[in-house]
Amino acid sequence: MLYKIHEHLNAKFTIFAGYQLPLYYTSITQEHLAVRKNVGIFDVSHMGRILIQGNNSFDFLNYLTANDVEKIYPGKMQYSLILNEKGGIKDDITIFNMGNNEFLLVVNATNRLKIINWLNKHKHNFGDIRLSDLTKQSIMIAVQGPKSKHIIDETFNNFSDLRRFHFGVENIETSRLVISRSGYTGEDGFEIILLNTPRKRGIELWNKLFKKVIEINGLPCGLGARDSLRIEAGYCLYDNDIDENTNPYEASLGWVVKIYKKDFIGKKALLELKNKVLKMRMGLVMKEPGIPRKGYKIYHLDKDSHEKTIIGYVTSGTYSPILNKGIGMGYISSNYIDNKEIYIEIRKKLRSAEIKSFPLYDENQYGWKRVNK
Amino acid sequence: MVYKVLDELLYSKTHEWIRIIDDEGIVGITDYAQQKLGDVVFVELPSKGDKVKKDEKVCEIESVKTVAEVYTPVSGEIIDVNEKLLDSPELINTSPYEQGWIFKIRISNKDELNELLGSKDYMELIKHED
Repeated sequence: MLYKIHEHLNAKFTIFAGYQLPLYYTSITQEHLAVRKNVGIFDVSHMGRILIQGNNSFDFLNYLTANDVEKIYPGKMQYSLILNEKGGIKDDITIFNMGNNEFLLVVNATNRLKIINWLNKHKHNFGDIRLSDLTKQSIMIAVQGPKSKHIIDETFNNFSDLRRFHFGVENIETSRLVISRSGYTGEDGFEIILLNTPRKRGIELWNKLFKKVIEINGLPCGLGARDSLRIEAGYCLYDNDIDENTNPYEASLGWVVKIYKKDFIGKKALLELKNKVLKMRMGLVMKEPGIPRKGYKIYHLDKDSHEKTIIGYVTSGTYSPILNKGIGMGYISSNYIDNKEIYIEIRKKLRSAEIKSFPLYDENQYGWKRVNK
Repeated sequence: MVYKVLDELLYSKTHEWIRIIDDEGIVGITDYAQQKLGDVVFVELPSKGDKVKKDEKVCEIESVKTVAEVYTPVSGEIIDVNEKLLDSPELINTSPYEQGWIFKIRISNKDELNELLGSKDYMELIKHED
């Protein structure tokens, strides 16, 4: 919907999930730093937005997801996982309780059709469940960074008291404005969704926010910065770090799973998998130059025999302008997660790196926790 | 898009430039190349004393997006490398023709210069590639 705007802003495009999206406008590094230190604005309309309605929508969603939907009251949202029967991850999503048995699901663009089919497949046991795919008639904009609250307060009237993971709703003629205090960068930030919007209103909304962002020297940001920011924060990207063959425990997402729930798809499998975690998703920070990239092998080097053993693989990687090092995430065999030193094979050379827990940035200097202090 | 091309340099089809001073050449990558790469974050320099052949890969430049190989436009011996790039790889983005130079080479066969492109031909090349 906003393609012409990005073109006008001189965006360099890339193909993602079948869409042409801005990779960056100025530079990935500058955009990344703008979000950590000031504010950045992202068009994330490519993500799927699905509305679920029906008297039994609570039970329906609790059966299809791993987190506990009972924990979100109207105005609250949660991060959750949709699992397959083997306990593998079909998608990672956010769920908004809109009230009146209505829930908004935000899903990954690549999985939108898969998830809609999956939801349709399972809804018959839950009475009259209505599913609406609102993606093409809505837009979604993320404003992220320590100055993001200033942007929201300047642009809107009724959204100044949102706590993290809470959202507010306002009706604008036939459209619904949903603003949540959430995001994918690790910084304080907001996600602004305009449901059922004609193109003109969507463009107006972007322009209003964009103007405020530029006024305080913020930047429009593309997928490149979105990726480097989320890797620093430790968030997963579907098809890179998680997929139908990874379970929540090895993905370090066990906290999302509320195993006490009566029954949900994947529960049986998870009860078994819980005690058999063979590999774990860990943070990686390079000690020598180079960027770890998806698919690169991770090695343990024996100090005496100099023999190398494969202990894992990289699933995501990029450059951190905060640490000035290559960073990433990957899976490491459970026997080796305490290794002090690991080696990543980058273009045929073994380069030393270390395992680090997320977030990779110093939480005293960066991240949403320092803003709320 | 506007790409800076200097008249006094010679260019390879793989987007390296070379500045000739008597028997020596200074080599780097062009403004077009650095724009396509995006933020350069690591440079693996060749070694002083390396004897290289024309079109041989002599070093790698890693940007956030990707890795690019740098090929020497002429044969010869590498006599100097720009060590500033180890701490400040972004010089390749901000100053590709001056501070972002990569290596100096003693040219062994001056005839090879005839195979390189002048500024006008290089501008044609990038116009078609874009």
